[in-house]
Amino acid sequence: MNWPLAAGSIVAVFAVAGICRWLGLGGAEFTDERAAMDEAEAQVGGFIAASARIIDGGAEVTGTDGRIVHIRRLGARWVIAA
Amino acid sequence: MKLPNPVDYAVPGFVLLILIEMMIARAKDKRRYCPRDTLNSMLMGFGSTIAGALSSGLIYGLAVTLYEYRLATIPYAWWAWIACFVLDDFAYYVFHRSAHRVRWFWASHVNHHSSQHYNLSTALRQTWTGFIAGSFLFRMPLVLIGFPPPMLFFVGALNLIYQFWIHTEAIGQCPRWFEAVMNTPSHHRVHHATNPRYLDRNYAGVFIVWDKLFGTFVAEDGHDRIRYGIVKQLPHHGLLWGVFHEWIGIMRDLWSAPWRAKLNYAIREPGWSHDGSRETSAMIRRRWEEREVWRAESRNSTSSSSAPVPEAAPPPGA
Repeated sequence: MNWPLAAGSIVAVFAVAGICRWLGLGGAEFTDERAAMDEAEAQVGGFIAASARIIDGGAEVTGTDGRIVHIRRLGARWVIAA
Repeated sequence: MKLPNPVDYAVPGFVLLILIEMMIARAKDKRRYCPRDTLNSMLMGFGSTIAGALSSGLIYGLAVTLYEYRLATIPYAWWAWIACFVLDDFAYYVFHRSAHRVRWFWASHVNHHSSQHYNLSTALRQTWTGFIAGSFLFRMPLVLIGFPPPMLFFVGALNLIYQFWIHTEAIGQCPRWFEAVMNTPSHHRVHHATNPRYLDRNYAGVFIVWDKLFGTFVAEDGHDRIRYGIVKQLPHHGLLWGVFHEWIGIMRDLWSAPWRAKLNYAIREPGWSHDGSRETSAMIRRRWEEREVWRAESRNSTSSSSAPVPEAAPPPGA
């Protein structure tokens, strides 16, 4: 184990993450309902979106089968809300 | 012969290239990076080096022991270095394919894929549990052939370093001759994609020819927006959950599954279930193909009859 390298690496890890934040990277928002529908279809197997409603920090997407999928923001991407 | 670990020398280069890619992201698309995701990826890389340091002695010891039973003694000659690099890359292909097709190995490999981002920091998202999974065994046949363990571990590190730069969206297509032979950002974007058409494809490490040879190659289609990550995206940025979630899933399934199915939850492909309640990549791809056929037929019938096609009609098999 190269301890100086390990110490340097952990400093670099937090420095790089800090620079990432300082540069203002990240962020995500749905530009329109179609984007939310695409996201729901991509993340839920067999789901076909019929309509969507953009809500604060995410979206509510209704499927052709009546199912409703809630999407929430996770960092700069989206996940299905439980 | 004692050889240095090339990865130690590459680390500053990794950091520098990540910073350059961040500047590109800032100019082109800030969403290519997410601070929390980047922190996680790099912590996974750091944890992987610690786990590697803890297990490297045992793995090296095993290699040295097996080397005693080698078929031939291969010298440190130039041709041996080349042969070792190429054969080690083939061993990597076999390992990597297994890592996606056998849940036991996938449990260790999944954290490399669990980011929804595809940038250079994703490359550092390495496993902490490779030793537990037994991933090192895939390299051992080369020791038995007669490649000296120091040579083998050296070229393995070079392989890992090569794979760093292909984790980026900042590079489109490389020259055709290069794309034909080598693994490239384009080929590896396909590998990290969750789009059904791309699932479980392009396992190559350095040479893409292995995928072309064994029928697992798919070229990137510039028309498709690639989505990255895993089929069931992680719900949060929890570091330990990211590292261990699939192992926990295996344990839960081993506990709750009927006796006749227990082992299959560890050795079958990810997504396999004894009651068909989950989806494998093959099932997802089949459903997507059916849906594409349905969409094409819908378009054709619309254009030939000019009758409206109900948007809400479900595709076959959905």
